[in-house]
Amino acid sequence: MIKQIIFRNLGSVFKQLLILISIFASASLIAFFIKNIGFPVINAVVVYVLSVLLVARFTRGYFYGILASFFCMASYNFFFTQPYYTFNVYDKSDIITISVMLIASILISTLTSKLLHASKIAADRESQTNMLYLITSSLAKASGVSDVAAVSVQCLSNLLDTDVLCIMSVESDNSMSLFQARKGDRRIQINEVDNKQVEEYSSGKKVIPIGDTNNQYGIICIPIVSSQESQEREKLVPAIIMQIQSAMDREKFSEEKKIVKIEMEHEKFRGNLLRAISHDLRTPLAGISGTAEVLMSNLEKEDDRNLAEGIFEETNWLTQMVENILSLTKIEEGRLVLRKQPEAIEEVVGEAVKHARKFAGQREIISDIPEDVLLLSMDGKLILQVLINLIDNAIKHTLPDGIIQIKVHTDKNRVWFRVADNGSGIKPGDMPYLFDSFFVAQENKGSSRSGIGLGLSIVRAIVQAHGGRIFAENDKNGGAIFRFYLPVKESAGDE
Amino acid sequence: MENKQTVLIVEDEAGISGFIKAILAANNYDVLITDKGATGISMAASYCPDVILLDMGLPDIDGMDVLKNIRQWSRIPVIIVSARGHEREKVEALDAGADDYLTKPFGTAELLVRIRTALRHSHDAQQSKNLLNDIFRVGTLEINYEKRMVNLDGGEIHLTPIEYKILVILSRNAGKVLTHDYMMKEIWGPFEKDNQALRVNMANIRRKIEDNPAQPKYILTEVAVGYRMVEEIQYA
Repeated sequence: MIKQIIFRNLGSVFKQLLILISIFASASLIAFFIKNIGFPVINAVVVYVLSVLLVARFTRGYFYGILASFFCMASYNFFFTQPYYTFNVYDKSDIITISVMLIASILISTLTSKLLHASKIAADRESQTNMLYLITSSLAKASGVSDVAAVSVQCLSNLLDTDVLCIMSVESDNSMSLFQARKGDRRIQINEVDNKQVEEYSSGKKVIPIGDTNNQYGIICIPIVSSQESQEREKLVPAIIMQIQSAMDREKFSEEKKIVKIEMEHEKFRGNLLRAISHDLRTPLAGISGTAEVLMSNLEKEDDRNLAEGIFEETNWLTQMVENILSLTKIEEGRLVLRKQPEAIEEVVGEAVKHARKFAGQREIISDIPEDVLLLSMDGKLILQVLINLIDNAIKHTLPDGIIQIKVHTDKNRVWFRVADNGSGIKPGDMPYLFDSFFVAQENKGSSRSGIGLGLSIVRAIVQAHGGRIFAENDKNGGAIFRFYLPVKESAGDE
Repeated sequence: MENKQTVLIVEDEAGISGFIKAILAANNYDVLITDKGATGISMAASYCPDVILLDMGLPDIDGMDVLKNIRQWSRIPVIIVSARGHEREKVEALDAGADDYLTKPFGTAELLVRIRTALRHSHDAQQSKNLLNDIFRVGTLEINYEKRMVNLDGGEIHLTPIEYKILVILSRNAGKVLTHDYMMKEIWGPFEKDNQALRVNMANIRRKIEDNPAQPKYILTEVAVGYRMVEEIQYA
């Protein structure tokens, strides 16, 4: 190996020297020719300086140029100054000529070499940039982590002009896959391998991991080489590995995103189904309840009228439930769009009370609002539903002669709503689950009018969407109290 | 009854149109039914019904288009039937010239009140010349348009000019729901977009004429739609 390198270097030196000598010899011949046809000898100086320039151009490093400068000086002194064929000088002006020639040619040779060196570095950089660009753009086109791996080995193999291996761990089933790009072969072999084979493949090679400590994708193996050119190129490898890693990150994230998206689609489908069913239930329910109402007034027999009333009430209950399911699917999907605008609190409370009266029977509903006009930015329809649900809940848990109290008051930057009843109160064990979907208080299970436990979860979702919070507690004197607040962001104007 | 009034029902659900028909027939109306928007338009033109009940969700054309078409050539009262939660649709329909709306599911009493109101307004429109000299009365509230005076329980109520204007607009359209946009346009002109002033004025009016502003008797709130002045006091 080392011998080879020495030989190669020797060969190189030999070649350089050959160039030097041939250019020098040609220059000398031309100089002789100029002298023989009788032109002034000083022209030979110019020819020699030109030859030094050429030597510097076609050889590597400063050494040969400077060597040529001395050759030329010596040769000029020897052949073209009197006395001829000696290194002595008679004419003092010749000394100046020779010295100027030497300095000029050394300067020229070093400058040329420097220039050559700089242009070579620039060309190298450009080719590196190109290479990186090519790799980056082909990585960008790859889709999927394994595709990224395949592209990576291909690119590295092209760049380093050698065989490249990439061993990736497959997340789903602890196995590993091997991506193998052979030198000069455009195809990539992909095999499944086990730990033992991995060791076999990676032994005696330079192993570079892809990924950071949290997120290990796999390793890349490249043969250890020592040629200067390859070493130059290997300097690029860390940068490329970074690119590969970010491409794999990207693909991994997009795969994860895809999975999440599919799950969301499922959820959406479920919600849509539920909503479609509820939506389609709504219209026939309206028909049934209307028809039952007609029957209630048209039927002659008392018993029949009672039957019709039963249908009417059950239908209304079912309608309420369908509406709740519709609201819940909207909320769960995050499709709950708040159409906020300033609403007068008293209007919303008044409307809720008016609505709830229809179902309240003999129960008394008392509302108490502040004297000042209170405007609050909210989605009126939704807050109305919150109040209706809370009152409805109170109706369910009070005796037919119960009292339900709605009170609104403000503190610094909140508006508090309070719905209290004098009913059975909330069982301590139920408290934590009160606002969960499909939770039904123990006492009510099995009763046909219990509902399916959506009312309060909708209430909470709406209040939270408005940036507020809801609390439930028991009154010391019996009965339940639900309180919620909405933040005052925009001015609550009053006069 | 010698001269029955005709109601055209444009509704694609047979169940709903069936029971509406039963209610209306029992209350001495002639009923026409169609389940398509296009036939609804042609029937409105050929039968000249007194009121049209229009469902917004029709199989062939959008209810809104039916309404706009009818409004191009006729002032027949149109009552929109729409599902709960479609407040925007209601406001759009009201602004496009619908007279009123019903939210499914609705009760017998509500339906009849809406139809009666719509009919009365169509008559009012025919004989509106002497309207300006009228006095509006509901419950113990009395509005004298000529003297620009408002009395409650026999005592005079002092209103600001804007409050009076709001009360006049509502009482002139008593029984009908007026959208926020419509009222603001009438009172402040077309460029006022913030309805806060309307809310505050309304709240102040209520403090002057209602016993309990949170349980109004005279001016009802239609949340997210507008206001409605009652024609007769309903005791809950």
